[in-house]
Amino acid sequence: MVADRRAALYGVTGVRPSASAPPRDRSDPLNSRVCSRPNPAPDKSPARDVVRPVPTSARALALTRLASAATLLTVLVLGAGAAHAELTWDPVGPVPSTAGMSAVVSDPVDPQILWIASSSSVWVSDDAGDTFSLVLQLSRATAIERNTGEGEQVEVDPVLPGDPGEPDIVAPDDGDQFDPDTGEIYDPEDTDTIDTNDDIDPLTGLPVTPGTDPLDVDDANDALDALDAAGASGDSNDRFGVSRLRVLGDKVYVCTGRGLWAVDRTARRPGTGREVRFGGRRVAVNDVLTDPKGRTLLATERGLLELGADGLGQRMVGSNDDRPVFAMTFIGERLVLVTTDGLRIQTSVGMVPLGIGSRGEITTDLLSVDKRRFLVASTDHVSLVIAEPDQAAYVDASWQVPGVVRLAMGRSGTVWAVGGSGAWEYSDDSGWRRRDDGLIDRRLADVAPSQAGTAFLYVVGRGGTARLVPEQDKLWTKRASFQARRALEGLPNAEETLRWASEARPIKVGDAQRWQTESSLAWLLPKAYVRVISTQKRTEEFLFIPAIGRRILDEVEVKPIDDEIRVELRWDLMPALLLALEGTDAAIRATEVAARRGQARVRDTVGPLYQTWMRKRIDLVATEFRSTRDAVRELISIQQLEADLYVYTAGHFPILGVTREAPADATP
Amino acid sequence: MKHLLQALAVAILVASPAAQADTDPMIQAKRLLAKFDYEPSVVEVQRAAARYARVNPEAYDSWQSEARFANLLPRRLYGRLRRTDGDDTDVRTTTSSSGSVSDLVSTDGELQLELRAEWDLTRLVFNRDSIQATRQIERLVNQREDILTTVNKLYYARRQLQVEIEMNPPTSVEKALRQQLRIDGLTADLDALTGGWFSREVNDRTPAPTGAQ
Repeated sequence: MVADRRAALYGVTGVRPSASAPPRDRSDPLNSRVCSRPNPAPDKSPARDVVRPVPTSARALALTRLASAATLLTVLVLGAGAAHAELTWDPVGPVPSTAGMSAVVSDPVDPQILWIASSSSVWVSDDAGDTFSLVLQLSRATAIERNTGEGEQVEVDPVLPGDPGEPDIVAPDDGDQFDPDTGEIYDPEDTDTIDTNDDIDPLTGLPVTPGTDPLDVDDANDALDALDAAGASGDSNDRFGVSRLRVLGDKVYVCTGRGLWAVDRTARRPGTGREVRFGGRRVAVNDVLTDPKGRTLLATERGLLELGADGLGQRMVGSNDDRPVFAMTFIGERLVLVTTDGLRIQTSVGMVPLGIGSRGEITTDLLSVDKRRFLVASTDHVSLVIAEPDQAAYVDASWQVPGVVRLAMGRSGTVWAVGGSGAWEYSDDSGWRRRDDGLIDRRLADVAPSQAGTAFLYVVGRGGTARLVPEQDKLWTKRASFQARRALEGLPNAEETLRWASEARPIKVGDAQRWQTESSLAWLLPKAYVRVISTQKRTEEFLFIPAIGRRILDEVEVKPIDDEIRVELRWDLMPALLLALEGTDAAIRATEVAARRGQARVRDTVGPLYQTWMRKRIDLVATEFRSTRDAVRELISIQQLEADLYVYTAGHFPILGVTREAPADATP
Repeated sequence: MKHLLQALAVAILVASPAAQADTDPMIQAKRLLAKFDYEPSVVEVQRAAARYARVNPEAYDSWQSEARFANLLPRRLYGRLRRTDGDDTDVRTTTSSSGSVSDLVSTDGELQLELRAEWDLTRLVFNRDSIQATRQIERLVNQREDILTTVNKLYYARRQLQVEIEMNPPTSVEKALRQQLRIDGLTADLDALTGGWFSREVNDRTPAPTGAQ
């Protein structure tokens, strides 16, 4: 019954509530529906699973596991509950300059170490995100491959590679300088404000920073944004940018739309990055893994490749087509792939289709749970697939998780999903639950777990990088704290700003409820009709004067003869009947939708704006500018953000130097 | 000699903050931006644009209260004034001692005043017009935000170009022309959003060149 309710609530498509179903493995964070005998026939439709009777031995085994897991479950649930009680997101990392951050990975040995990537740069942090160092910057002009749409890959304006043995990073030329804010290299002589990677405002011809463009907010909840943020959209900037990071051996692999790059795991400054070439032209690499035999496998736009010791890629045995592969994982020693026509699994006869993942769905990630189960993230759903060796795989359960693009297994086996609508955590009690506390921009692109230390999880997306930390630890380093206090002293905080912006919306979310109450009570009052009729009689007397031979008006008498006052009250019961039959008024429903849209607009626009403004303000205090040009740019940029916030908060947010006198230091 | 050294030390102490201020990029940047203080501020331009597009809050602030209080007045008001003039007359003749004769003519007429009014009291509790007004205001607010943030973009893009020219004066006619055209383009965009107000204000406020009569 519990499973039924949960199935109804979360849209579970493959749940098999049955008396013959085995008991759940309560130690399993996914609360899985264990079935030791799956459907013997290849299952083409995950939603059409059928329960199979469980053999006695399997049932006994399941019961034994249940008993042994019960104690562990209690410890895990209580422990996880206590640990997660006050978790909140803490923004960290460099300020994203264009489309935000696109990939993150944590060190499997030291969870304090993490790497993050934007479309063209990779940074590393040794202190769970307190500080970052640039380790790789990819050239924006490097050999971009563009698909002609006819299946033919052509190279467009390639930059001839140098010595393959040489680091293939962007070498600063004489005129280039190092930007201490983002760690990126830039050309100070380039006064053109338009960057090829920026969105261009058609009105001004000037670059628009995504997330700060108010005209872009309507798309904020678009599912495409999730894919866009994950680099899965057709947007050229994302498509050719970094899509995934992997730590394998002593290297960090950077999967991009223009090839694969490897950075030394110990590198803390640029110089160790090398492009991994595997023959022929560059090809988009979506994922990279090492199999149990130690082979490096590449999921590419041209199929599954195996990276040989000679550095050349060759088609993997058993992978007999060049279908693009988007993601992969191992369950036990078996490889599972995401291809254009669904999932494939490694068997003794090669990579065979699982019959899961239709053409209409976009599968974005896989996550291995154990040797026979894995999770699939695809088009607003997370599905649990069971693939027993030598048996047909089937979908055991599927949950609606809007916008999901990436999955991760956090501490205590907690499953996390991130995507265009934020971060979601799975728990047995409440299923998938959104965990957005402190997360200002919910458009996330990737997630990485941290198995120890203060941070529980790292995520990246349009708003940059954030780590999940206990509330009491959401504190800055002492220096950063001092700088932040100094930079933001006397200025509005995020809560105030969002409150002002919410209050500036004409329709509030509670308004619809109020109107609903009013409309349901209004019929109690009547329509009132008042009628007043006054009738008067008029009598005139004329006097005849013989002397003048005429009658003159001598007297007029007006006497009321009848007064009528009638008051009618009529009650119209039709609205009450309609309300009882139809429920909420359509106009009120539409208003509720408009109110929620307005709130989303506030959240998706003002939150990121404030976050960017706050960081820039802190940077302004913390940075010693090398040139007047940099200082002016920063001041203008901050003032524009303040002007935008001034608009969104109906004039409450101050524009320092314009609406409020600027303090002596650090203000425009 | 001792006095000379003391004087030198004092001079260095006094001069160093000033020298530092001259080379500090942040201070220079603020000075550079202050050169354009005579121009309308971004808030002034926002107000002008909102006025021109008629999306300023004053235009719609009273809509909701008006919609609510409008229902205190009757929904329908009907009045009728009816006058009937009867033909009934009563003539009496009287002869007085003075010999005068008077006629008393009595005319019978009726005046009827009818007033009918209708209130829909349900609308005092729930008024659908309020919802319409709110939805319309919501649209205007969205429009306002879009217009004003566009103003911000244009305003600061223009300011950035102005500062660029100040920092790097063009070295060729072609470059000067190109930069000036870009500024003019942005000025024209701001004019389009403010109905020409921006250019007028800039011209009015531009300080006269030194030495001009």
